[in-house]
Amino acid sequence: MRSIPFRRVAKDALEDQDAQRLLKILPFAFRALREAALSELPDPKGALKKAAEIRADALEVLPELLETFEKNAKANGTNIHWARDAKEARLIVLGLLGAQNSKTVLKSKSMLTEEIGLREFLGEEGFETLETDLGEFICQVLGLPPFHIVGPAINVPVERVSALFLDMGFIQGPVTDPVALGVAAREFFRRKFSEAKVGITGVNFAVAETGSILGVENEGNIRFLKSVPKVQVSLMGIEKLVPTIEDAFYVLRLLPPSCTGQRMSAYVTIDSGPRRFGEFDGPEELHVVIVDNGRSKIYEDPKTRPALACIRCGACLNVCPVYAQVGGYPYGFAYSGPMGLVWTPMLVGLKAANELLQACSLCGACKEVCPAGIDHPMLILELRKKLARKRLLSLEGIAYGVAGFGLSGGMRENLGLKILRPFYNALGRRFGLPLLAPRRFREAFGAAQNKEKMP
Amino acid sequence: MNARDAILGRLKKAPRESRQPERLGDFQARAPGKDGLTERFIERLKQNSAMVILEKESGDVGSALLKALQSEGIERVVFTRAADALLGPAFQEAMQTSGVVGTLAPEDEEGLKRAAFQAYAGVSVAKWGVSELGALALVHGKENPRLLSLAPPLSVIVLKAGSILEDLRALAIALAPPLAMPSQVTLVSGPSQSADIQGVPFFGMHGPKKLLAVVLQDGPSKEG
Amino acid sequence: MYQANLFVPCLVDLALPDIGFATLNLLRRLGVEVNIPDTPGCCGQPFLNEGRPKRARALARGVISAVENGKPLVVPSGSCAEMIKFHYPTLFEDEPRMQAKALELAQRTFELSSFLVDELGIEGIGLDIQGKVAYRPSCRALRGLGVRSQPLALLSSSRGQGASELESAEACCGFGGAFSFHLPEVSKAMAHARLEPFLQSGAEVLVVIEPGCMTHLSRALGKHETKQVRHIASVLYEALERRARP
Repeated sequence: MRSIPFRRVAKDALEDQDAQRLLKILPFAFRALREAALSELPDPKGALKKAAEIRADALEVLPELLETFEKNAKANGTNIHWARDAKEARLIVLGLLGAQNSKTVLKSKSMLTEEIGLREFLGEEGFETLETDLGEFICQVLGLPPFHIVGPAINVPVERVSALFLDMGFIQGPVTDPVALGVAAREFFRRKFSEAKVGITGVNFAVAETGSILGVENEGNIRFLKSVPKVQVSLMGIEKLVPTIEDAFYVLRLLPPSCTGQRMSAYVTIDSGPRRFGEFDGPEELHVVIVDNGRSKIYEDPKTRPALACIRCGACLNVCPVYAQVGGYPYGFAYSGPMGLVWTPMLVGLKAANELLQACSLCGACKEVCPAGIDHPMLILELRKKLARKRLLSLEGIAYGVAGFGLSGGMRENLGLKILRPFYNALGRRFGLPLLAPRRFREAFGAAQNKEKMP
Repeated sequence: MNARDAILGRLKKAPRESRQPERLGDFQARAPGKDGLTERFIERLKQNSAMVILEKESGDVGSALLKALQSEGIERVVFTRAADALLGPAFQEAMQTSGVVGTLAPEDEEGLKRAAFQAYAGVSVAKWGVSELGALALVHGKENPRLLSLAPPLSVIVLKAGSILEDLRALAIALAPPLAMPSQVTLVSGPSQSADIQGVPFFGMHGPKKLLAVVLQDGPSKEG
Repeated sequence: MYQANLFVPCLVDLALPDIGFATLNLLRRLGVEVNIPDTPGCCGQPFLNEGRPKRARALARGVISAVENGKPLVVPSGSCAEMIKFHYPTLFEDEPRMQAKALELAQRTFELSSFLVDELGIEGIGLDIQGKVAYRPSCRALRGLGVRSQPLALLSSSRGQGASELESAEACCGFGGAFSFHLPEVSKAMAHARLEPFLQSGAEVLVVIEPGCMTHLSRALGKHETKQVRHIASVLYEALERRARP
């Protein structure tokens, strides 16, 4: 993958009036809602800590949990598929679709499918994939990346949505009421749901003990995709496992508060296999595709492993001061904000994420709100370390080498500093860096002390 | 090597610390007390934008429900068999004179789908309630199909007050093995909703625009 | 007499020597005998931040061995103090002896305001601070060291004009060391966003405890008729001076 141009896109975002207007409100609103929702728990901090423990414990026994899940899911009648990378995952889904006589596929929002470029691939293969999450649908039709993990198209002005829906025949004249627009989309989707043959969904949690998968949502599209089509294909990263339903529920209880600030999302579905004998709805075939795509590599290093605890709630985005200035587009991939900095480099490669990895001032706000206990700043340092090893001979590497050498000296005004000062200050003035004083403190202090010592 | 073994092999080769799991307390549960379970369930369900009717099971079963349906202008209602059984013959009798047309969910796939997509209201059963969340836990199956609490604009969910549990932990215990998991359990805590356009929330994005919970109370003696 | 070491962060040493002198003189005026150890010119934080722990380790080694006198190490910067307290021990995970020394040093390392309040027990000394004062915490001091109330306590004034914390003061000002160099536009936008509540407030001085935040916010503020951003050491020292010479 070519390098993600964070700075360039961020500059655009800073000048985008619509995005800026929204960013002045959105993260703060989410934060206030989150705090209110969490305050219903007797000990929110304790609950976050325990959820983090559950995730960390699950990761330590991940391969065993995967095996148990596979065994129990199969016993439930679920078909399990394994994919090493994005390509394998796409081909598995294509194979499953090929067996159906439908060229239309309905899908719900899934970060993993964004990550593996599933929709684009299926499009090239002649399948029309329709996003059924309202925000994701708007993004799909407008060709936009997600702006926020929770509201992918929340930044799109209502006039633009109106024009789009007019164009698609959902409405007869311009509408500027978001609610009326939503209602118009409802009618379009209902027809699609009633005819759906294949549904593609993501997975929020997978439970080893029961072989179950959980889906969390508000709109009801996931429920439709798990009720109407004969074939349900659910894709999950290998990291989604927890040992028991109780564990899943414990973490689930913190997901909506961290995500939308709700006490609980409108719907949570727990699927344990396809429809049973005698049932008249639900899929006849349930396929779960377990995708690695770089995750086992993240797992291999105990220092990066904690990143896999992420439950994709988006709480870190809402407290990130960088995200709050630029929104989701500069992050250039499925994941944005602090979790994007932690995940994207490991998925697209460190060099491609060179600029992205700098998009953090290490303020630490993210780790305070993470229900999975992820220490984002620590992980970012770890990734920068891995990146620096690859870029020893870059201009930056040399600059840091020189600076390190210069600063390793002691108290005196050394010659190097005297020579460098005017050059640095010329550069500094241009780039807005802190300028060097004519005389460093240590030198001035040394002189002052000598004077004091004199009789 | 196949993908499965390659992935698992790689994970198993990774160095693993033997983590000493911290035995942490619950932090989510409030002091348990069965007394307020129903009250809190109803209060929270209402906060989640649902309508709630509390009725004595032994009393005039369903009159409040029928009134609610009429006031919503509902003419055709489809019941799951489980809901029909729970509401009982007295309710069916009352319905016949009310002008609301009630039918049972068809027992064939196409018929069920058509009925669910065309009905104004669907009546389903929740096996449990979760008091702390104000949420209903529906077990789907032959008698209680998925679509009837999803496709009609009004979803009516009937629940026995005695089956309201304290919190998700209690629900996990109720669901836990050795009992086999049903094909689908759905936790419903409000109507379908979205705020994807400009963050403005509205109900009825894909699923029900309204959620009406009917809590059947056995009378105080049986509830505790 | 109370003795302490003063660590002078590179930014103070090279670019903001006034803060160095203000800290030194403030401590002396409060009766602390100050020793400035011959440490390397930097704690190593910028190198660790950029993923160069080897270089950071070399600097850390220098700092640790220069202050083995067992006396407190006072740092007029939250992030450098946090570096020494929390990151030094992790830098020497493979060197138990160095790590033990790092942990020992961590015990006696203090950010300036927390040294004054938590260690010296100075609190509400009734400084006559001119002008209305606002305060914003610095990220690493706040989240890493839990420094939030100490500066407010120190800034409380006998004339009833205590310092107040600004709205959304917890959000990063956008300095972040090399971050401001890599993404200057974003960094600047962050500073302007953080200054907004200060500009709308009646406060004339915005006090920070981090030299980096100070230069960054000052530059974003530019030349302002009535308002300025200052480091806590300068504000406290000047106030004490004024009190001494009525």
